[in-house]
Amino acid sequence: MGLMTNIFQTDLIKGLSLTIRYFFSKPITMRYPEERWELPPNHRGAQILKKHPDGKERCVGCGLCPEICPSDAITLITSENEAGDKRVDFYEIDLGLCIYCGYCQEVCPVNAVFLGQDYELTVTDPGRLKVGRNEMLQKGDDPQYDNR
Amino acid sequence: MMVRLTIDDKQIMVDAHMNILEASKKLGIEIPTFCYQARLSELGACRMCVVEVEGMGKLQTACTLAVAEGMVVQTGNARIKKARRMMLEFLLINHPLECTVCDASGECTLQDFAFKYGSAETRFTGEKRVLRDQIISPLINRNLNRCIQCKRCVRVCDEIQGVTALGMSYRGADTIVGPFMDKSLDCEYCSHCIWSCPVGAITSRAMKYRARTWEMDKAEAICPFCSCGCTLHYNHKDNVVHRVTHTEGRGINQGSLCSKGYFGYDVINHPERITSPMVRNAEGVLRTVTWEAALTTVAGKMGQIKDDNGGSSIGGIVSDRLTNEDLYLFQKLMRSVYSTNNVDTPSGMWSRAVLPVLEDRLGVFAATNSTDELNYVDALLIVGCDVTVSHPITGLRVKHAIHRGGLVTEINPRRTALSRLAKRSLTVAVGKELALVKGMIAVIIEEGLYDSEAVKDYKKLSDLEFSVKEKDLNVIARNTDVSVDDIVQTAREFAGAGKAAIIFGETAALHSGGDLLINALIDLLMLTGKLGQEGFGLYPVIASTNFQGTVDMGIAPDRLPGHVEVSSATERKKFEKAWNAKVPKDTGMNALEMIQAAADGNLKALYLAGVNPLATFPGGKVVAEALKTVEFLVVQELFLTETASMADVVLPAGTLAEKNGTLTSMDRRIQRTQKAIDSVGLSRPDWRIFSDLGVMGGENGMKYVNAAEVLDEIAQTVPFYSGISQHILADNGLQWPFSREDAREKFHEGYLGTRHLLMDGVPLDKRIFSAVSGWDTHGADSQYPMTLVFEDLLFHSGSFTRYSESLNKLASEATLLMNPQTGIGLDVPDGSTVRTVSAQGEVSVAVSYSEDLALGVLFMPRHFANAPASALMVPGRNRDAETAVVRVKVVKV
Ligand code: SF4
Ligand code: SF4
Ligand code: SF4
Ligand code: SF4
Ligand code: SF4
Ligand code: FES
Repeated sequence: MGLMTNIFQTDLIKGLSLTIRYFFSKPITMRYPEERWELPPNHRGAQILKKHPDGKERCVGCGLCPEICPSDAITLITSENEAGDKRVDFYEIDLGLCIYCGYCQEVCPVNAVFLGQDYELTVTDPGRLKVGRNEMLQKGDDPQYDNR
Repeated sequence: MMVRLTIDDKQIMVDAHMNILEASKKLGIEIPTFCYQARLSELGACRMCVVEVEGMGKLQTACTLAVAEGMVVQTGNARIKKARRMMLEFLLINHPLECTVCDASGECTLQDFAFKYGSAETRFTGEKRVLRDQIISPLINRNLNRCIQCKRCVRVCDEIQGVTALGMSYRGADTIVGPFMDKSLDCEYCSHCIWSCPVGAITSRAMKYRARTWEMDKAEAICPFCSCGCTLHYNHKDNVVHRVTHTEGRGINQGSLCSKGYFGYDVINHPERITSPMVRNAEGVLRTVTWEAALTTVAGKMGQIKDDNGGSSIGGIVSDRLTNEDLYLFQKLMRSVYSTNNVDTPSGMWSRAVLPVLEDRLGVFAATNSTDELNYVDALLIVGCDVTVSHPITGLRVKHAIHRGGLVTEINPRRTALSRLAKRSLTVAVGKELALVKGMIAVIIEEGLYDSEAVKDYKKLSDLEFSVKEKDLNVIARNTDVSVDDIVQTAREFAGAGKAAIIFGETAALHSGGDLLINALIDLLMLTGKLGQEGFGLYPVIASTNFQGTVDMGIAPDRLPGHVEVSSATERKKFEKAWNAKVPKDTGMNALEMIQAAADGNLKALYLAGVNPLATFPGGKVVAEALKTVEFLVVQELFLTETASMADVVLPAGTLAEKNGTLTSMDRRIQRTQKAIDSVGLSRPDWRIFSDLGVMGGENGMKYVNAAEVLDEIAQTVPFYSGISQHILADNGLQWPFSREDAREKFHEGYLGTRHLLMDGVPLDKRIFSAVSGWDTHGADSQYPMTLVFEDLLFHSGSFTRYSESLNKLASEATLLMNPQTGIGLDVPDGSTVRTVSAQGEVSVAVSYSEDLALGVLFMPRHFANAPASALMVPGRNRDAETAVVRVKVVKV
């Protein structure tokens, strides 16, 4: 038995035929980055910040999202502006700490912060995972990251 | 009288003065309230507290209705719930509902009650009023949209602080709360209104929109700004202190603070804090170095100077703001490692002027009674200080006494904020107070008003009588510019009062004849028998936060911890055994002598911990000379002050928010203060620096793991701190002397130690009147005809608060106050700059006229860089008593 297989190399032929069959059939894996997933609308990716139609920021700096965040990923610094109103001086989410639970989106009283569609969060410098307010506002304007 | 009533089917017996609200509280039944506050008068405006009383048709307000026998009360049935729901709905019609940003959110009564008692929907709509946030003052923010017109702010300002800066105008929904004519707020910034407002209508501007209430952690600490010893909570987030709060009924302050305690916290996270050690390099520039390097430099140089010139060429001056642990270790470092008794503190000048008199006459070395006893005095003499300014919370006790009908007489070279409230304010030039007190004694003896039982075994009563009768009352009246009637009345009131006490301050004690005045005041107390009981006594007051701690911890050239003499061989032995090191036997130099010696080149090394002599010590020139001449200068500080920038080594220290420890208030209460945030930058708590230097200096006995270990050692070496520990101090402070056993067993039951001293009366061998001779303790000087008094300011304490931006908004520059009559001969218009010249030096400062001052007396704050008091104060080897009052002349420029 062993001798016959050795002489006729049947294993090789079997393997090769499998390869040839798959070579001509439709691929199963996705050809990233040419191809991307179609995400479900409530996918929980990197956060975005939304604006009002008139371009004013929605976030009022209430401090609820940093408070509720279970992994302390959000930093918010506020103060009083010249007009005596509340101003957001600094807003940052550390995507390396975030567990994408969505609590921040849930708690926001003015619907400013959402978990968006961006899931490509691989970086070489971990500092890049700290995403600031401007970047999040830009993403909020970009339909690519906004699924609403 | 007690009455029995039924609340929610439960029976209770209560005092007949109680209202239903208080009775319900006893049963643990909560009734929601907006306008009620226990310490304020009743108003009955919000109708949130409604209850149903059997036999009364309408719902009643629980906060205004007194209990009565047989009353049957319901506090939470359907009818009441509906009424409360309606009240809330009405309030919310005209409420902005901006909890998302409102600073009160999380602590807002309206928010809480709307959640608990309100309904989820709104049936009524109406135009909401929209008024912008109004900045009615640099530190207090008003948002009238959020006001629910409970009037708590108005009442607290009037009834507790006695300022009446706020009022209500217009009616109904248009009602606004604000200063008179809605101008800007001119007040004491005590923060009572902020704290009383149940909503976010009056808030602190210093923390406006910077942190939310729930984000901050709280640590209980003691206020670093004066010796009242108020308990406060540092609220911090991300290692930054964002505000200060306090708890109703807690600590000496019982739920009040003053402007310094409430707004002064911004010194803690001030951007100019020194954050790393610095050593002066070969080029003469201060350079940042590691702790290791800095400490090695100090230990090495100190060791070398000690070996070469002996310990007596090293001196140390330590701030009276530091904790007992810091102070104890400082003197231990100086004495056991550097072999010197040259140890002192700025308030040593006060201690040396006042304590010897107290010890000699009464056998005590602290205020005899507790400050809260002042609440209930019937007569009070305040001599040479403005206690509402130097000690605002003690000032509140005085205001409380006045509110109750207490007769307060002020004897001061100027009228103060208290004058308006006090029964009588006698504006007397410096030095003439003695004549006035002797006049009072004369009246008391003449009219037989003295306590004949108390003076029975006193010696020298006839001498006293003789000494006060030397001058006729009319002459005294003429000399002091006070009417005979005022003298007689004050004397009668004081002698006849059930409870009477005396407070005296720096102006009284720190001028050349201050000791005579203190002696006369003690004679007055002895004569009228006002010692040794609750509500009696003598209160020497100086603002320095832990001055009592410096006395108790041996921060003096002639005293060891426990206020025992350095010269006593047995006491020294005791410490040598405890420390396992030698204690030098010669009395050291005091702070001014050290400065002089440094200027003369006799003192080689000076260690300044938290003191800034260039700004605060007498004789600006000598001080500058001393700091330049001294071979090695170590400054341990929070900021790079004038003095620190001259140092060879600068060591960054921590504020009270960054360390654990204890402080002793002016009424002997030892209190625990706790660390709120981690040390700022690389700074370290003072005790740790002293400990490290001690170990590097070769004393292993200076090794401590934490401040509690230092306290344990204090508990063993200082007899009247015996048995004390952080644990025992957790609930309340303890007033020394206390019983070790009671402290251990009853500390959580509110055991406070000794409330007042001299309970067995004045010691037998001290029952003698001093019968001081002389009438004018200040005298005249033709070259310097005017008297300048350095005063404390309500918004500042020491040179430390100069770094508080909030407090600087309230006051940041010195002006020279002068009676316009005094100014006539000088021909200087209000606001113009004059030269003020003393024997020491001169400063140029703007004049501000005020009718409140006695003739020939000038006032100037001591805290500001534009007019450094140090330039005018006259030093002198032993005349350190003249630092609160100096003779000057004023010259037009
Ligand atoms: S998704 Fe969750 S973990 Fe991430 S930032 Fe929001 S609250 Fe934090
Ligand atoms: S919860 Fe919303 S409004 Fe509040 S701080 Fe976060 S993003 Fe801003
Ligand atoms: S006052 Fe109270 S209810 Fe009104 S906005 Fe502020 S937190 Fe909300
Ligand atoms: S400002 Fe605050 S304390 Fe004053 S009346 Fe309005 S709600 Fe009451
Ligand atoms: S009275 Fe003194 S201790 Fe109290 S808060 Fe004011 S400064 Fe601080
Ligand atoms: S609390 Fe009783 S009426 Fe306001």
